[in-house]
Amino acid sequence: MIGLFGRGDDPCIVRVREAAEDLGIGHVVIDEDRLDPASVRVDVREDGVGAVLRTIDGVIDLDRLTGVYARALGPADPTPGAVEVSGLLTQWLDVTDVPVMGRPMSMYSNGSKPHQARLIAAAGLAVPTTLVTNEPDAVREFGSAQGRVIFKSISGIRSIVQEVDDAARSRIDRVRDLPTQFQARVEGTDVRVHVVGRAVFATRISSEALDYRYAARDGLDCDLRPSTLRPEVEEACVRVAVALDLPLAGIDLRVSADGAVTCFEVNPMPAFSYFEAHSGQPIAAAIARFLAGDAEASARHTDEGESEVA
Amino acid sequence: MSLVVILPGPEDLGAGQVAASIRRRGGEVVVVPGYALEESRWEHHIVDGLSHTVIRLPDGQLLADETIGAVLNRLSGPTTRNFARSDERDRTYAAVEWEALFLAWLSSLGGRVLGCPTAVTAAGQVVPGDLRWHAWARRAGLLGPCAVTAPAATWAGANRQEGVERWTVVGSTVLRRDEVVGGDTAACVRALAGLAGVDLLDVLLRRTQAGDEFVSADLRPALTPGVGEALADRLLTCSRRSLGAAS
Repeated sequence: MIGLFGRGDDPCIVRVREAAEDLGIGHVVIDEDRLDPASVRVDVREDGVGAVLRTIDGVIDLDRLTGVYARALGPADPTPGAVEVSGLLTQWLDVTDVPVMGRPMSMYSNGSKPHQARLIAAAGLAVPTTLVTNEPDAVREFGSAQGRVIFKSISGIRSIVQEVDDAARSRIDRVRDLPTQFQARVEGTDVRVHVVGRAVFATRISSEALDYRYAARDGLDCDLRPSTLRPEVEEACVRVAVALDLPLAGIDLRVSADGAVTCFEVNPMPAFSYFEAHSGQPIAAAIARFLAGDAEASARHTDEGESEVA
Repeated sequence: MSLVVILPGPEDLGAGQVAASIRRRGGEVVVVPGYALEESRWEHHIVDGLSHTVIRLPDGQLLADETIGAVLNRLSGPTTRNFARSDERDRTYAAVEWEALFLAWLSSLGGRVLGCPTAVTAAGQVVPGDLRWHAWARRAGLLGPCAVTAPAATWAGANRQEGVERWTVVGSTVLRRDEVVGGDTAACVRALAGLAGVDLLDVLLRRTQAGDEFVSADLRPALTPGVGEALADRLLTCSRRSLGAAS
């Protein structure tokens, strides 16, 4: 029996639930929007913690789950009771011995992009040449050395990646107010990689937009197709996910024409459903299998006929 | 590479005593409050996956990675003093951005930093009754309440706050009543810090006939004279080790 913890109507939760149904894997949805009324009891022992959840849908012995997919966003209607139960369950996710995809404390590395970049590089993926500064002259020098340069937030706050163009250069002195992250622009094809255990799903993204996530806003198209990576790149992606303690990770790569691979960042709670819906890759099924303890499911994933991009 | 950098928290008078102790022993030390860091000029580079930071402090002093032997981090978060007149959204954004830069810098210094930010410290001060701390304490061999329920979170057999004793972890050293101690309880307290992934910690315990009960923890230990001396020892040792590694 696997557990799915999050909002019941979250597309990612829905997809894993449907995949588990298709695969005949027993599952239970711990719906954050159905936690009032509910109660949870957690026992603390020397050898670990045990928890039992009672909701209007039934009683769940959480220790008997083989794995939990956690996408905890908090109850949409945050009544005090639901918030308390959800809060204790979230703490349980951090200390239970049950395998969890999405332990809250594992989200931490994404709070600082340069911090995460150093961890990514140490695990074996190249990262862009980067400068974080509040010194305008340093930005100018960086631009002269690197050519085309982009800038974005330092923290995990989502920001639109923008190029340092003439307009940006004209207001470069404003970095004195707050350090900003600048990176050498990397040309190439965007590839989103979802690592599920040891399985790797690469999705190639074709878009004219500098930041494909905002392609539609700019009136540009965005085409997503299944792809493959060289084995050594796949292995590096898995090493990165392991290093960040993320059994499920969304890794943003750019692959240059010469095959060089650069990693921009790792999303610890990827909204994989968007990529699955467009590419048809069975990511949710891999998650369900992983949580059910199916090690074979993590062995291989690439379908015949997929094009290799790196 | 022998400079000791102390980043004090707000109104952290004990940090000055740690600095004085280091100076008395011949160490080179600089105390940099959070607001001074935010008024400094920063360059944090990542080239070929390796980071390097140079900070020019308001008084002109340079803090470069290769000059820093050890850091004591007691910052409780950015001051965002320069954003005092900004709206709350901008202030919050500035705080998060500064925090991300502090993390990138401090984590890149690795073992040279005492009190490096972690997922646990990012969660803020330890909330009494936090399941995680009780679970780690039990796993570390300490006693404590055996179950919690929600809603209306209540711990079965919850211990009382009175009669507690403070134990302090400074790296691998454990102090009780300002004295360095060993023994089983010290080992449990050290193990608790290890499970939480922190190297600075106050642990409140209550001694019972059955054993030592975990009551609560504090991520910013009080800088008593004994703790200050232990910190000075640790920072100087770390600094000299860094110097040895560099030469």
